[in-house]
Amino acid sequence: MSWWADIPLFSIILCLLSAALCSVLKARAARVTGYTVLALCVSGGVMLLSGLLSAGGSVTFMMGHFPAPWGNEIRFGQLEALLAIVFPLIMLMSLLGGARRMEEQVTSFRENLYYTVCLLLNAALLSQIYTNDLFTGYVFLEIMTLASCGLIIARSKGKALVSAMRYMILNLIGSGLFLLGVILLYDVTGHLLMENIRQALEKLHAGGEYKTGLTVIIALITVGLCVKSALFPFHTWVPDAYSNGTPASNAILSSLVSKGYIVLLIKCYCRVFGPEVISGSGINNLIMLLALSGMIIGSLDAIRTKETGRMIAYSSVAQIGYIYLGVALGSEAGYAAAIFHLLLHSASKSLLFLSADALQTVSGESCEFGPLAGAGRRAKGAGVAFTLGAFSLVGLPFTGGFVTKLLLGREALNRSVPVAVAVLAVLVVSTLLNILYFLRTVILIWSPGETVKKRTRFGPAFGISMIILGTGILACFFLASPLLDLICMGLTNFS
Amino acid sequence: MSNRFRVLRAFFTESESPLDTDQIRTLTGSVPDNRPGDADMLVTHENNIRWSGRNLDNRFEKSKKRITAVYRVFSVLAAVMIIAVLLFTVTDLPSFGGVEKPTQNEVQQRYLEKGLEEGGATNLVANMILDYRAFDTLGESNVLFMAVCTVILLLRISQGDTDRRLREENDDRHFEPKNDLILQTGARVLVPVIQLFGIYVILNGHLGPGGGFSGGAIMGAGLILYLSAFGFARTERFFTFRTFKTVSFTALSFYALSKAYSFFTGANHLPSVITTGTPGAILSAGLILPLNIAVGLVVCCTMYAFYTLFRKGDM
Repeated sequence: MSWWADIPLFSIILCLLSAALCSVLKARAARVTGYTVLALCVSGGVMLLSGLLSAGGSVTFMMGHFPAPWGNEIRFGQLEALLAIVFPLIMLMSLLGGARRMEEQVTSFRENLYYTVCLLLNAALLSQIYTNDLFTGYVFLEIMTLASCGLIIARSKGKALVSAMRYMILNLIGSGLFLLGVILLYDVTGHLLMENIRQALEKLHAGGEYKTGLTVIIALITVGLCVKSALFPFHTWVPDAYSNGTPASNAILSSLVSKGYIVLLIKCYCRVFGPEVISGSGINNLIMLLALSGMIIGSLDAIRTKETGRMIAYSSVAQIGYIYLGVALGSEAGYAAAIFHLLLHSASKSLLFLSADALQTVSGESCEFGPLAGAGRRAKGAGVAFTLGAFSLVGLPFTGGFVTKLLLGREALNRSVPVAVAVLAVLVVSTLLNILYFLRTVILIWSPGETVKKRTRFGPAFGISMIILGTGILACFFLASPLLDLICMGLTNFS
Repeated sequence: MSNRFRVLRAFFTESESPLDTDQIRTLTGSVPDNRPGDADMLVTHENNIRWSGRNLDNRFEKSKKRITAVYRVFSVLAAVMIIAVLLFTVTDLPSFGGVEKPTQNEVQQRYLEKGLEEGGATNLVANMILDYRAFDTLGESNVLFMAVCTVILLLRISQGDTDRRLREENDDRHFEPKNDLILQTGARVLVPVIQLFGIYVILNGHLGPGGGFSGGAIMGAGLILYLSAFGFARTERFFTFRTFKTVSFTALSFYALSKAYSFFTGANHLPSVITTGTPGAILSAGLILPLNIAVGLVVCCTMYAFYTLFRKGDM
C-alpha cells in the first residue's frame, strides 16, 4: 500500500491528540496548535488527493489487525479526499476570520477549550467522511452534536445558551432517529459495514422481504439526518443557533456541521441502500417536496427578518434545500450538483457570516439592518467579501452559485414534465427571492451612510480568510468543469 | 448551584409556567450588586422572551394558549403515530433470539470462536469493543471528553471573577446536608469499598464482566459520595481542576497513541510488539487492560467533573 494511504488515519489521530492537548494549554498556545493541526490536515488532504488521482480507484484501509466486517474500516476515493481538503480549510478560515472576536466573546480562560471543541469536530467530520461502517458514523455523529452545542455555548451570553439548548434538543432527536434506523438495519441485515449491508439489502429487496421494515429504516435515517441538517420543515432551530454564537462558531456551524450530516446521508443513499432500494421506497419524492418548499419558505423567512445574522441563517435553509434537491434527483448528475453546491455553500456561508460581522463592527455592533447603511464604504474589504458571498448565493454569473442552478436545472429537464416544470419554477422563484433579500442588503451597505471617523483594522488573519474564501467562490465558477469532473470521478468510486 | 444553570432551568420551566420579569430578576439578579456577567444574562434573558419583537405580556398570553392548545395536541399525536409505526415495524422484524436471524452470521461467529485466540481476553465483549472495533470506542471515549469540555465551557467560572466564585462556594451546599453525621459515617464505610470495587471492575475488565466504562462510573460515584459527605476542603487535597486536566489528557493521549500504533501496524501488515499473552492471566490481552484503565480514568474524571461543575462552577 502506498504511503499516502496512512494520511486519513494520521489526520484523525492528530486531531484527537491535539484536541486533548489543547485542553491543558493556555489560550495562545492552543490557538497556534489549532491552526497548525488544521493546516496539516489540509495539506494531508492535498497529498492524499494527488496520490489517489495518480492511483485511481478507491482505497480500503483496515483500522486495526482485523479486516472488516470484524474490525473497523475506512474507505476513501477522490471525493472523500476533496471533502477532507475543503472541510478543514473552511474551519481554519472561519477560525482565522473570527479570531478578532475570541478575546471579547469567549474570554481567554476558556479559549483553549474552544480549539479542543473545533479539533474534535474536525476529527469527527473527517471520520464521517472516511468511514465505511455505519456505527462508526453514528459515534462521530454524537461528537459532532456535542461539539456544535459547545461552539454556541462558548459565547457567554444568555441568548446563546438558550439557543444552544433548543439546538441540542432537536439535534438529539435527530441522532436518536438515526440510531433507531441503524439498529433496525442491523437487525434485518446482520451487518454494520456499508458494503455488506448493501449486499444483504439487495437480496432482501429482490426477495421482497421486510418491505415495511425497509421503508421505516430509510425514513428514520433520512428524517434523523434531515433534522440535524435543517431541511425544511425541521429548520426552526436554525436562526437562533446560527446567529447567536461567535462569528467563527456561526460560520463553522452553518458551513460545516450541517454538511457533515448531508455527506453521511449521501453515503447512506449511495453506498448503503443503493439506487434501486432508494427509488423503490419513494423517499426521493418526499425529499424533493421538502427541498422545494424549503427553497421558497427559507427565502421568505429571510425576507421577513429584521436582523442580518438571522437573514443569513434563514438563507441557509433555502440553500440546504438546493443541496437536498440535488440528492432528491437521485441520478449521478444530481448527486454531483448536490456536492458541488455543498462545497460552494460552505465557502459562501462562512464568508457571509464573517464579513457581516465585520460590517456590524463598523456600524456600532448593531444586529439590525438600518445602521448597516454605508457599512461597505466604511470597511471596503468586508463589503466586497459580503457582496461576493451574496452574489454567489443568488447565483449571479462568475460565481459558483450560477453553476449550481445550471446543473440542477439541466438535470431536472431529464425528468418527467411535471417534475421538470416544478423544479424550474421553484428555481426561478427562489432566485428572485434571493435577489430580493441579498441584493437589498448589498445595496444598503454600499449606499451613502455615516462617514468614517477612524478606520477600523481587522488584522491580517481576517484578510487572509476573506481572500481565500472569496477565491474559492470564484474558483467554483472558473474551475467548475475540472471540479465537476473530479466530483463525478469521486462519485463513481464512492458507491 | 451555578447561576447559569439556574437560567437554563428557568428556560425549561418556562413553557410550563411562564416566568414574569420579576421572577427572572429574582432568579438572575438575586445578587446584591450588578456585575456585568449577571447583568448581561438578565438583559439577554429578557431579550429571549421578547425575541420575536412582541411585548412581554402579549407574548406570554399567546404562547401559553398556543402551547397548551395546539402544540400539546400535535406532539401527542406525533408521538402516538411514531409509536404505532415503530410497533408495526417490530412485528415485521426477525423474531428475537431466533436461530435464523440475519445477525447470526459470520461476524459474531468469529467473535465467539476466535475472540479468545485473537484478542486474548476471556471477556469476549472486551475483545469486541477494545480490539476488533477499537476505532468506535476511541470515538466513544472522545464523546465523553467532548461532553465534559462542553460542560466546562458552559459552567466554569473564570478565575478572575472572585466575587462570583466566593458566592458559589458559600452557596454550594444550599441543597446539600452540611456535615451530616449519618452521611459521613456511611461514606467512611462505603467509599473505600466502592473505590476498591471500581478498581477491581476496571482491572478485571478483560477477564470477566466489567471494563473501563462501568468501573470508571463506579469510581466516579464513589468520589461524588465522598464529596457530598465531607465537602470540597477534603477532596481538593487530591482532586483539583489541574488533576482533572492532567489525568484526562494523559489517558486520552495514551489511548490515541497506542491505538494509532495498533491501527498503523495492522493496516500496513507490520509486526506489532503487542502480544495477547496467556488468556486468563491478569497481564494478558495486549492493549485491552491499559485501555480499560485509560477509559476508566476518563469516565471517572468526567462523572466527578460534571458533579462539581454543576455544584460550584469549578473543581
